[in-house]
Amino acid sequence: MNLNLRRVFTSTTLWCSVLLLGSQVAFAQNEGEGDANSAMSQADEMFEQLEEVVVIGYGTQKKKDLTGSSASVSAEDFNGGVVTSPEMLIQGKAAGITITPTNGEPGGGVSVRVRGGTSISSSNEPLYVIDGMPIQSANTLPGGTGLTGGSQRNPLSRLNPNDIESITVLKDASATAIYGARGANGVVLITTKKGKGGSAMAVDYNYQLSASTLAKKLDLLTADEYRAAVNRFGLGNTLGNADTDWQDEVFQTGVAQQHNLSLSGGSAEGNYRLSLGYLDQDGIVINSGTERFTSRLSMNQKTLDGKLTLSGNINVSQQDDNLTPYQQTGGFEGGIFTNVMKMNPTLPVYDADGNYTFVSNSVRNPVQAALEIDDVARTTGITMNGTARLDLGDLVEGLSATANTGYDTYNTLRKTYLPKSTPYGVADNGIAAQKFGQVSSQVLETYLNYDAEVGGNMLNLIGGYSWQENNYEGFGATAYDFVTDNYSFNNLDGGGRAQLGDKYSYRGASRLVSFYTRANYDIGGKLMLTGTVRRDGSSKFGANNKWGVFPSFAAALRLSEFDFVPESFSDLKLRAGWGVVGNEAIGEYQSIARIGTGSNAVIGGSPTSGTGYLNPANPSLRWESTASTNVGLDWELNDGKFYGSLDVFQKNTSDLLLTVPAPAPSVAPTLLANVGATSNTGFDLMLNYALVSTSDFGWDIGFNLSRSRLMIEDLGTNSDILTGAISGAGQSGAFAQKLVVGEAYGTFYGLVYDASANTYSDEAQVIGLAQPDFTYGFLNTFRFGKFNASVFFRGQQGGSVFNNTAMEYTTLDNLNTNINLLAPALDFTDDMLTSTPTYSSQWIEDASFLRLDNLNISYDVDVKGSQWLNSAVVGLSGQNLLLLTNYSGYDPEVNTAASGNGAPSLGVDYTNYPRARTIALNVKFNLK
Amino acid sequence: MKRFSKIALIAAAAVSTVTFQSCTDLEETIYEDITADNFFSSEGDYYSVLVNAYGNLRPLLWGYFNNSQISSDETIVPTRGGDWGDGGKWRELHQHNWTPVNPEVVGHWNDANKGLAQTNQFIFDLDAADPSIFSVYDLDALKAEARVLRAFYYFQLMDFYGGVPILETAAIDPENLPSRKTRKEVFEYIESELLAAVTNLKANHTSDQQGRVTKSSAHGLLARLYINAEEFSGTARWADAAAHADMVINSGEFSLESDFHDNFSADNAGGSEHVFVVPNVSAQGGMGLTFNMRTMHYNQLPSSPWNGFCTLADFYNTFDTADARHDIFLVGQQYDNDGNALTDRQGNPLSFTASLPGITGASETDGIRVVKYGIDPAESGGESGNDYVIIRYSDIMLIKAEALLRQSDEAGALSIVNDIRARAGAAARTSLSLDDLLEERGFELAWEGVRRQDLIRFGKFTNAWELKITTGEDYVKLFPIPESALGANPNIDQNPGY
Repeated sequence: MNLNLRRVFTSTTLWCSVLLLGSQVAFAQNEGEGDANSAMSQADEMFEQLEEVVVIGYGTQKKKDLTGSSASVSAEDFNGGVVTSPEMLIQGKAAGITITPTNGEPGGGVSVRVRGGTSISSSNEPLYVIDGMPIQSANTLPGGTGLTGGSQRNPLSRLNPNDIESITVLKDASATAIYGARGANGVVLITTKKGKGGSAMAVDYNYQLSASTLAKKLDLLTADEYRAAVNRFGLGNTLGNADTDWQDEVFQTGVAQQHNLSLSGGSAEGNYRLSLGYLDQDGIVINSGTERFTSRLSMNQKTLDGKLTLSGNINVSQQDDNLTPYQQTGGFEGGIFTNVMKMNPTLPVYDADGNYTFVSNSVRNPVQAALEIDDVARTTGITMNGTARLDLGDLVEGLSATANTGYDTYNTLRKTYLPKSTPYGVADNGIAAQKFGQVSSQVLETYLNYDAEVGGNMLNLIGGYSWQENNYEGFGATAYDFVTDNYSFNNLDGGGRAQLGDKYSYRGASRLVSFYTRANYDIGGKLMLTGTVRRDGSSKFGANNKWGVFPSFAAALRLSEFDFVPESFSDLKLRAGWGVVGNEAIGEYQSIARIGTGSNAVIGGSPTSGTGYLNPANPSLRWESTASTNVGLDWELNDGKFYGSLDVFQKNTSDLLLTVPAPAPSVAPTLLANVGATSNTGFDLMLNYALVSTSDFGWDIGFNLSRSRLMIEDLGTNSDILTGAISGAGQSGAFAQKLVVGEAYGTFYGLVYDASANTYSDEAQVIGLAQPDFTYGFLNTFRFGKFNASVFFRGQQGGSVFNNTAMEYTTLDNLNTNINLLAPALDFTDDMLTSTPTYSSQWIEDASFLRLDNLNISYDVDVKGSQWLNSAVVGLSGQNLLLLTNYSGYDPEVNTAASGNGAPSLGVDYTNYPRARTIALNVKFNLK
Repeated sequence: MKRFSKIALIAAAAVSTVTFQSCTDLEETIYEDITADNFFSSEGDYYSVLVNAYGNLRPLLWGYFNNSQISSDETIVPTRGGDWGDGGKWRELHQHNWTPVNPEVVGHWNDANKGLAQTNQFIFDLDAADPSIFSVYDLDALKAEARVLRAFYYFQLMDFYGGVPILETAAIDPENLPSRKTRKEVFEYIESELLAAVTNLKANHTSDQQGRVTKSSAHGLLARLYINAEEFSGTARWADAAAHADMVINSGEFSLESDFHDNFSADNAGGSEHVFVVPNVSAQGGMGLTFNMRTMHYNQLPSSPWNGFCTLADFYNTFDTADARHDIFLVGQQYDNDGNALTDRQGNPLSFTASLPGITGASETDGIRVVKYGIDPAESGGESGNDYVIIRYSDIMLIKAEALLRQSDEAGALSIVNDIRARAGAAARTSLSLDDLLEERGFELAWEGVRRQDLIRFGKFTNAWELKITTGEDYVKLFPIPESALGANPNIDQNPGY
């Protein structure tokens, strides 16, 4: 870590604290809110269930009055252990939201789906709103250079999970309608921790030390097995004398440390919280890891006799990543993981002279790649927003006006160097690249809120306006041919050669404007009605299609108020909702005919740049809209000992934005058009049972189950779309999946393999489906004296994964080229020595699994006599401790980026950064 | 009253909060690209779009070349263990059992159509240009070159797929999707475009403009068009073929190189036989020639070639070892620049053998490789600087010879063929039949991307040859229209047999 940065950071936080303390109004003495860190007794929690206030769009509502479908998870139920980004806190805990890490790299990308998604070419990511301000979740990591393309970052890791109080996911149209277009695929509302009013400043510190290891190794041949295989066929391969396990050489135990400090407090008029966080995490691959600083300051203050409430939040973060060179799809030579699979186990890591063992330019020493290639990225971000809420009760009873403005920006600078002393850079005499990407958004929202009693019933009305502008830009340069490796990537000018097209910059912007209104009418606590209308305009669409109107309606009937429902039901509520939301999560500028960098030609012996037509105009490009219906039932029995909810939904998307072939001849072979339709049907079930609840012992069970199935209903006149590009030698242009009308998204299509006869079917057919039948989570929480424990299992039933790694490496043919292979190939008959890996049902495996995802044990240390501490908790966490599955690869929960023809793939596994198993020790203090 | 004023106040507050920041402007601001409104104001703008039209020729180095070669008796890409399996697309090309989803067939359709659309749009923009802004560049010459390029893109499509839609406007109207014209109509369109463009083309270019189309390029293209007229339009045009071949021969711009291989060397730019070329430079990431990467073995070059393409033993055996043109073949043990024997990936000697065990199951060293375009010492990342010759002067001479032969002038044809043979150090022929002429074209133009056209013209494309199962059906003389194209435009129909 840079010494200057530490100084800057320390002085900034000191400055903030001084400013803060200097402007505080006198506090009332703290009565004691109880130990902030010990879990509340189960009995208390039961009664709070009904009265619990849930954040909804632009306001809050009591849970019992909700008409839409949402799921909330609060801090005590968050996943423990090493959690580096907000979504991982609720993985598996909320029905209907699936969170799949795309790979196991620290800080790596995550794919989040609420009820399975609806779109193909446009994004399926939900909208993230933090303390009322929508934020960006676009990726800013610039592309790799050479073989370093596989890493993905999680843009939300700029938020420290330790700052989060609760997360609510809005699932159905009536809940998300208020957010309009951006909420088409669900809304994740994040509420951060705030200071508690009426107490002295609370100082909380927690520290975590963890170790991570590779959860599972693949069954590659050992040196002796390889020698035996070569002998079996009498081949003349040149072999070494060593016994190297390349997986062991490249993987390590990754140690991580986290420090979090927060200062918070408040009074009746306001509160504040300042937090600082530091994370230093080593990955399980050698020479990889991430280091991150975050700081967050939030303040709320009431003035003008409590009529004006001002609040502000600012979040700053900086993350330094040491990336691992690998690719998600197979280039012929490949990065680290491909070469770990290929390297001959009889060769040592270092040869007799102490240099890295060299095989050839196409099979390359992965240890050398991990240690010698420099690929780093620094991501810096600032997110801030301010809200002012004015109570206009003097003018009109129950009226208030709110204005919310925010600015969110983050950028990444990536530097890569492939040294000329390695096979990775020797052909070009060293390659250096520096690339930069940035996104920023500005948001302004104003709305009026009106609460009144009309006809003896509660009415709540809001109406408002929202404006958001998103900007992105970036640039980069690559240079080749260096005289020495010592410049690394710091002196691009030292490179003797540059190629036309290797320096670039880009910039773009888009805007979203909306008008919205919502009415909530509560009739005697028995019937609750909600209606929302939103008019959205997006700059991305054609001139006459920029605006869309999206309505929704919902009703909830409290059945428990009626006599025919037994008394044991303290709450029984039936909900139904319908709504239409629009989606515009596509790239900008697709509707206008643009001219830009075209094809270059060599004229007069020099490469000359050409200007070409980029895309034909598509003025009829318009909103993709999804109409969805949701019916739900919430219940609570035995005074809250047992409660749950069941939601059944159906979503139909029309005017699907899809990348389709353009009618030839056209200046670009594909275009983005509104063609096609999808549907998605499923359910979410959530159950909670307080099994035991005494003062000594408590045991709570939570269970959630969900299912969604995204089907392709229509593709216009277009034929099936192929996706899921298959990786491996001799597989270019082959695809594993198809989007076919009438089949689910993620359908694997190929030949059927008959193992007993070793033959394939003549025709390709459906051989698997990536979407699971069900996903579920099972949480047990225990309280025993001063101990608290939680055990969380998460799993999936059904669903298939295409094990591309197994397909490429379970072949005896690898002996012919002197590379390693997976052990199951040794069971093949001798005649299979020259057979080619063929994509078929042989490589489609069942992805069902049950994972012990999270285990937490904590102990409240007795600090009664202490001068310094109000409370102290020590704990132990384990993540991914146990995985029960039939899948033969690293992990069945995988989503390698293997897209094709403009459609993302699903359920493809190819040599990827594997998932880790982690054990962490936590210590938490609350200081006096 | 109080209530009204309260409501009025609310209304005022509401309206003001909304209109105060009222901003419903959704015009897109474009930064990194341009639109037609703010472009085409200077002649340099037009020139850079002409460069783009030339740049779109580059994909023919892959699709047009590969598909013409592999579907013939000169080239095969066998499946070597796992390598080059690629879903069977290479095997399909050689064995003539391709389908409308074969990625190489689809790829070429997309590339040629893209080049066509880009050049077509450009021509319409040139039509709308203000002539007074052109001083350095000649507007008529730019337009003539663009018309030749557009005609060549149509030629590539017509050669492979038969009749295609002809664009009469700048771009396709999505409300009014075109249907296919007949192959004859496309032939006549190409003919008229080339004849119209010839007058405004330059006879030659200065070296800083080398690579651009000349009068002879247009005549050469016409000669190639007419020699295949029987196949393309149904009517033979041998005399026209000879006439346009003569225009190239008599232009004085070209002559046979004394060393056959100088045509293809790394520094061959501006060669005396280059009638229509795609120029290349090495070490520029995408602006070079990758032919040698396709055929050579992984261990033969630092940039690790791909070890795929090879020739057929039968074709190789027709060559006479004394013929200079035989030197393009790599046979037997291979050596590096210092004379050391190379090995394959297993560690065994790297020695290429003529025969193949089959179209699958080939080993790394099976099949004789062809290095027609000489190895470029400056190649980097697989990109070599040899210019690729689309139409070569000796091909023009052979077209003339063929035209004469088909008009029963055997003597005239024989004399031309013997000139070409003499240059290559081969003994003169004493007689010339059509089969002899086809064989001579095989010797001279091996692996130059013309074999498929030649075999079709000589009526041998549907014959059986090494490792090819044949149905003998005529429909394979046309590639299928890709399935995706049929879906995108329901007004076009598929070629027969698919």
